[in-house]
Amino acid sequence: MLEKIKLKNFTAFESLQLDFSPGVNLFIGANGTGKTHLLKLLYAALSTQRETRKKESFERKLANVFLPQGKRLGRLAHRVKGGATCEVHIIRDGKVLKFQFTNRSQRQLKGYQNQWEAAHSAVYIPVKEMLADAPGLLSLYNERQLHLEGIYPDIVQKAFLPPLKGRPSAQRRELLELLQQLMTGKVTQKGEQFFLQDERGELEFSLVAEGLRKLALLWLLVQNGSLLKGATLFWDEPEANLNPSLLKELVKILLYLQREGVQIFIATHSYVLLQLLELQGLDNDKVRFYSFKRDEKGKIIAEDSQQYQDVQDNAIGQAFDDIYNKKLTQLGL
Amino acid sequence: MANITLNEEQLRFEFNNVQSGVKFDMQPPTLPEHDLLGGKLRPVDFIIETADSVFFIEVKDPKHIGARSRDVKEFMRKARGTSTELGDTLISKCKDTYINRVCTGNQPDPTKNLFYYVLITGLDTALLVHLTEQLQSLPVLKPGGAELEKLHSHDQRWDFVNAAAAFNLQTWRARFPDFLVERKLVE
Repeated sequence: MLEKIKLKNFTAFESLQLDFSPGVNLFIGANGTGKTHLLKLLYAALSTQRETRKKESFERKLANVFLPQGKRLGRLAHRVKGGATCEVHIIRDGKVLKFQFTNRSQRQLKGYQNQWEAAHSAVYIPVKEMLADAPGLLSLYNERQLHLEGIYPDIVQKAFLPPLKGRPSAQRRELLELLQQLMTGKVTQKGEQFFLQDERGELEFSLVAEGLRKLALLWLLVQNGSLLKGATLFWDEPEANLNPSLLKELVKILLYLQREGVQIFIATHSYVLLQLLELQGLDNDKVRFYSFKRDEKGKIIAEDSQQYQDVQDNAIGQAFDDIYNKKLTQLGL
Repeated sequence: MANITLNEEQLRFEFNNVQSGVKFDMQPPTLPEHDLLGGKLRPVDFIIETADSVFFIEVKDPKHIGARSRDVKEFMRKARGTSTELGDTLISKCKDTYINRVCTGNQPDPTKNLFYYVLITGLDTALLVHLTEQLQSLPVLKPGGAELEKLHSHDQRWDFVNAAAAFNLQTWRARFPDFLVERKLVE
């Protein structure tokens, strides 16, 4: 379980320190406040743990996920006059992963220390759904110099994993059935191509609505065990391409996964998603809201709370402030 | 003109430069008019009168000190998009109060503007917009409209509200510097 992160001079952040919830962590804030960078950093840190904790492996992962020019890690340092030294500390299960680099660094990290045990699955779902583009993508990525963020081939690779052996637990079956109902069909696979099968036949994913393809991806990840107890899910804007009426069900699924022991990190711009997570959550659900914003000097700061109502000074709330003020003016108040 | 202090549970209001101000929702009812129809009519919390306006004010404090998280969530469920339960209750309170005042011979001065303000602690502005829109189903006076004709012909204000809106503590303080509100210290 990821517990804490401390950053100094990493990408958009001059300094930042956050404590995480073991359940659902929601990052909200205007564009350019570092939410996705944080998701990617945590994902890169976790996703190299499964096979190896070697420094080179992590350096490669970090470069592939962020894709800085020339894969120079130094370009991930916070941009300040005179150069900067970046320091990252991440605590997981009480143990530290830390490293540093400067804006002049090439592909090597300094002071790399990793005490982490092997991790369970780490899944990153990007804003853009990738299953429709899956055929041929992995072989292309593995064999060619493709300028593509590593999160895309990673999620395709996860989706390709075959189902777990044995009969799924009652809870997993319930979740898979719920997803099937929402998709109004089953996911099938021929070679590297995915289809949505319903009573009318098989529809190739490139012809299926992107919102439904996202649900199909979740179905695959639950079915093949990528989202089981101990896994970590990073999801950038789950609301993208999803009709708000499906968000209620999506929130049900997220809360369900959290109760099953999946730690979840979400970056979102959706007021509806935030409200639903708060309102559909039970008392013992662990949901935490983080509002990222810039202070008067332009430095990104974050405040967190267990209730969305308590982080009202956030980008989503401010959009509604404008509407509210216009409404009162319209009423002559 | 006077400054009047009124309390509603943990919140203390100071209404400055007003002609009169009463806590109207008294439990148990202390005035005969409060108990109209055997308590079936639901009153607003305060009625405040200034030189040119009358204010019906309803206060809800789900975020009071000591509020249980479960109760706050339940209140927010009532306030959110798909529900009109809270809005319906608030609308009834305003109508009932007006009926009460008319039936007991205390009709608000028809030459004054009448405003209905609802203060709800902890509500974000998205929910305030939603609630304010619901409050527009009150008979809001539209100058020059059919309601105004009715007013003139019958000398009665059934289209009685000039404006109705919902506020949280922050937006209340920003809009009404003369109507101060603060949370009392709780022992």
